[in-house]
Amino acid sequence: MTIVFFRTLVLYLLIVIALRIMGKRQLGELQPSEFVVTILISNIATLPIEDTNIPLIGGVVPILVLVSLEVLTSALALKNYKVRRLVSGRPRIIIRDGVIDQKEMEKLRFSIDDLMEELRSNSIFDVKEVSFAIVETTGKVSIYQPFDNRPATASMVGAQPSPTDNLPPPSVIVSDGVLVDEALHDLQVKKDWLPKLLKKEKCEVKDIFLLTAQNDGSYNLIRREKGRS
Amino acid sequence: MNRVRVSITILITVMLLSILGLWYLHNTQQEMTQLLTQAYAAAEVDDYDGAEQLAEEFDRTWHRHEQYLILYIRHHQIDEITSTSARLAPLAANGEEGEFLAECKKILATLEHIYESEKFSIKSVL
Repeated sequence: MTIVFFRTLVLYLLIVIALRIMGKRQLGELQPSEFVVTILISNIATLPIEDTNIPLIGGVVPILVLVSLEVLTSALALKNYKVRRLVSGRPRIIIRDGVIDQKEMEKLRFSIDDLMEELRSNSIFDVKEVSFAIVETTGKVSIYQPFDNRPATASMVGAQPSPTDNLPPPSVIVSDGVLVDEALHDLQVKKDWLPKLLKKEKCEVKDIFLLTAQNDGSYNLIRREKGRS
Repeated sequence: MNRVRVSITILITVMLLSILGLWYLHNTQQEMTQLLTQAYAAAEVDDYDGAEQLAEEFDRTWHRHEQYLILYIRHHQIDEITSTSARLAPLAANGEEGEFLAECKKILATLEHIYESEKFSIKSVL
């Protein structure tokens, strides 16, 4: 039992380190090779945990080798277009001006149900409302709509921004009673801004559930409910 | 680039450790095979005292190497040699030649199998 516990602990730490070395991509955005490596790692890690006859190194070595190879391949792909094409493939257009490219869909083994599902998830219910649909190397479908169907932007309607419209988004300054120093630094306000605000609101940092603020000094303060530790 | 350097370092380290492990396994196999062959030859000429001493020496030497081999060899193969090795000296002391020789052959075959399965060859890779 203790062997299994410690092996699990070691492999957990190793996988956390391995994934940090691999980088920050989200699971849904993994390239095919990254996806395969992620699944392989999770399978390999279980072997020495389940079977204590297998030396721990029998799980550690393949994980380290896979992660290293993945990092080297992605670094090579970054430098070389041909390698990138080989490893990740290239995006494919499956709809042009409202016409579905059935041959391309067949090549990609992409069914009409898959396509309609992707369109619906983008709030599009008619193929005619699509100028271009591109299957990306990650398998996601990017959609470009004709001008008439595109969501209106501020520039389309000629709206002028107010002085506060171009401010950066609000930063979290206090999160569940804890001051986020970096956010306060990034906010670029005067040093005494927070003490003054706390004095004005008659509370301490530990009493605040959430405090967000913007560069112009505007803020939103939510107090911690009574009875919560 | 930092990640690339870390990855290259990991790969080189793993390769060096693999070569070191194989080298250690080869030396161990040679040493153990030599000791066991001597014990086998002694038993064949009814020198049971000599066979017993060599079997005890084999057991001691094996225990010394076992602690390193267990790091990268499947444990059941190591355990098989350990348990058979423990039987050798008593078998020689009781003059049970047939069983002693059979156990020696079994250990020799297991040692050979472990080395062959770790050695880089097309057979092992496939």
